[in-house]
Amino acid sequence: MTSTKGLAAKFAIIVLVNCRVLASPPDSEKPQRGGTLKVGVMVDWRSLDPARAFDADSAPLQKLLFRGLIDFDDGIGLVPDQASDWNISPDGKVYTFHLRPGVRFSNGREVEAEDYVFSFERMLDAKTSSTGQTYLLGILGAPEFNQGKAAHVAGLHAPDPHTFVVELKEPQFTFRYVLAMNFCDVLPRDVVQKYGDDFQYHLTGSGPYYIKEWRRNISYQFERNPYYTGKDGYVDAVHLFIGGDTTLTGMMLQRGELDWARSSLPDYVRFKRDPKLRSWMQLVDTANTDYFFMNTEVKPFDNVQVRRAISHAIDPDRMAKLAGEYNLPSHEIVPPAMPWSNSGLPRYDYNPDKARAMLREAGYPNGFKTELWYILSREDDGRVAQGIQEELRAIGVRIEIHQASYIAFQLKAEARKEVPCGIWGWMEDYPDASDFLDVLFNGERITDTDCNNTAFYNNPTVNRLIDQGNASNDVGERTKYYRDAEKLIMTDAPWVPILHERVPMMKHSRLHGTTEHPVWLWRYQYMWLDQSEKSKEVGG
Amino acid sequence: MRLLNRLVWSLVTLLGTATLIFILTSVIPGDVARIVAGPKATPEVLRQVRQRYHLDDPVLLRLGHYYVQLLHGDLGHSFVTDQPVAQAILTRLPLTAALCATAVVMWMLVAVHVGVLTAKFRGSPFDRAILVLATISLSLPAFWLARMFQYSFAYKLGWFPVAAFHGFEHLLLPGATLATLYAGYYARFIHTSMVEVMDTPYVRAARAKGTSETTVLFHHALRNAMIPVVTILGMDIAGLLGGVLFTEHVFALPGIGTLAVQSVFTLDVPVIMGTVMFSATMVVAANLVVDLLYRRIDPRIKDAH
Repeated sequence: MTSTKGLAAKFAIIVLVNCRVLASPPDSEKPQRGGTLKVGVMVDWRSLDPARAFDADSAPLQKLLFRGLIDFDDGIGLVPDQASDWNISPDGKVYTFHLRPGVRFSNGREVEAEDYVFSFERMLDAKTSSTGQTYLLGILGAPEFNQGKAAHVAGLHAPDPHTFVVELKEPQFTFRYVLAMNFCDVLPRDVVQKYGDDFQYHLTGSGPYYIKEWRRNISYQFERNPYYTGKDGYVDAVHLFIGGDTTLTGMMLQRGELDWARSSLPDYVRFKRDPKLRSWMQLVDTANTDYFFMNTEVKPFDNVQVRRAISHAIDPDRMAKLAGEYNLPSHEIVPPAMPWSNSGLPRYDYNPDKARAMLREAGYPNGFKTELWYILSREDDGRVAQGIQEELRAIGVRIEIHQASYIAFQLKAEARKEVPCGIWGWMEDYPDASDFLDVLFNGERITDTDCNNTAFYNNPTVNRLIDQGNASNDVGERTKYYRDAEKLIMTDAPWVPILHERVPMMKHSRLHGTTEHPVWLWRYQYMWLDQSEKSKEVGG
Repeated sequence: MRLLNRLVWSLVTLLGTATLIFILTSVIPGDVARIVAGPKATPEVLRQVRQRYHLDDPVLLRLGHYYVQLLHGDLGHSFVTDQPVAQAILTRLPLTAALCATAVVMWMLVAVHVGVLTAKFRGSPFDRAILVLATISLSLPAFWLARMFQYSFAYKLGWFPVAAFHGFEHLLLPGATLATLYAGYYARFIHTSMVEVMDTPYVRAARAKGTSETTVLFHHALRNAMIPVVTILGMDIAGLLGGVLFTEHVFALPGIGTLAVQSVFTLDVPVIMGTVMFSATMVVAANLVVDLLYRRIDPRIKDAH
């Protein structure tokens, strides 16, 4: 392996600096230090252990506690976090990181390369049962270790306390994004070994805060990590209130008992109509797409003409409004918030007459009857399901709506030929189009059960384009392959994309620095509180 | 012998409850492994979880394990948080107990005074007005009243905190909610009991001796009238300790009731089973204790048998 700083610079991902370069918060007012940020969430997590929690709400919280080698900047550019620099070998298989000296865990011990080896192996250990293991299986020797056939992962090395090396079996462009995921944050090996399964009660990381108190399903109290050497957070503490419902958190926020909480649709409307509260509402774009899928292995959706007719009969603009007027109507698979754009995509204009004619040509002059499934707890989907039922009735398609719990729906929708059509959503794991196209449309990945490709869509040309994109290390080339694949998928219409979700967040007027982030949605580290009289303001 | 008989029936009741809750939670659709491992879990992770929680074992074998667990006082671990269920319940018990104590003090203060006065002035417009109010308070749905109190006195007027628990002041409004729901019932119960007692010879004798009316009512009559009230109160407190579902949930108080509601929303089967078993145990135990105490307090019951 040779030093490849030049090569990595070509990918625009190497930054040779010895300090953190995460951008400063963009608010024009000068941030103030101090105070306790009060955040409301509905339910607790099994644990904030990076091996366990894997969802959009816990990710920004984990970032307060744990840190790793690299992170995203204000966009999706990668910057060193607790590594001082890193490089990739010319064959794209070996990643070498030099750790920033003086980085310490919240218990005061310095982070060493062995801690990274340990943390990665822990993720890959089958006994950890982490969802994250699947992202690391590309490391040399990882599958063998995961299956218990090897004592250590052959591709993880710590040649000295400040150098960490990862060897991949094959080049994998997206591995750099995987490294920025919370799964890859470093844990102190001595603390984890000491507590074993009870580590969840003794979470220790190298982030700017640590957990002072965790009352399960009740609250968290995060306080400053005195050993943190990076860019410090603004607030002295973060208090996480767990429980209640969206109506309750709305009232609490207005009375100043909370600073930041997710809003319900009624509260969104109420805040929007109230001139004083309007500025207390913030919409956060997510890299998510909610979609209506048609199972291409089930009649009549095996007929592309039928799928195209359905695409002309559903109006995404109306559906997005039904789900919540803050959502963005979708006409593409990969969400623009990734960020992503694909100007040449075929667009299905809402045209019931055309849809009826297409159905006739496809051999269904009187329409047909089918089942539509959705997840009961996703209330927005319920409204969309009824909207689709109404719009398809206009072209003679009679929909019988079926609801199921999340778990029951997932089992059914991910099994072959079980669900003719349904509504679901997908949110990015990392900002790369392959996270949608490869995971959800690559026919080579179809399995009889647990299949993410719920349309069971399989087009060899698309599969080839996706595989070519996956294999390429050239950003421009990859983008081209994925754009071509997305065009073909849209032409075959296994999905009618419905909306890109925007999260309505309520924020107290004293709270600042809530700028959205394409991956982390928001970053608590950059939030700050106005300590003046404004802090006592009561909304409404 | 009678005590042994009561104990056996109490255990049978608990065993029946355990079996019923096990059967009910076993037929809930959905894959528990998915709940534990999360929606994006791989088939391999799901297999590991099923193995760990014996989810692939036959139902009867799992029921057997459950009985053995219960005999050891082990309510299992939460599927969602992995916390021992017994620990989750015990950590929340003090808050639920504090809420109950606050509410009981509030409603008994109101009910005793109103019950005694309506007995004294029975048939008067005051008595009739109280009867109407008591009937209304009995008919109010807990979740509605809790939300109305919260909206009016906390959110709109700002007299109390809206929700959560950071000190005694957070118990006042939820306590008042429960007190409103129970005060009417207890006021009428005390009223009825007082009316019976006030016709007894010893109350007439006390009046004939020239004892003041306040002493007659609150010292002589009330003490006897409270015997059946205390019995019912014991049962109600036991029921409340098992979880004040709606009031705790609306005010987001981290008690046993909120734990039970959350577990239902997240399909956390061991917690659902644990909170139901805890609640059942409290009621059965209170029943047993009250039954035994009652025989001591009132020897006529013993003689009747």
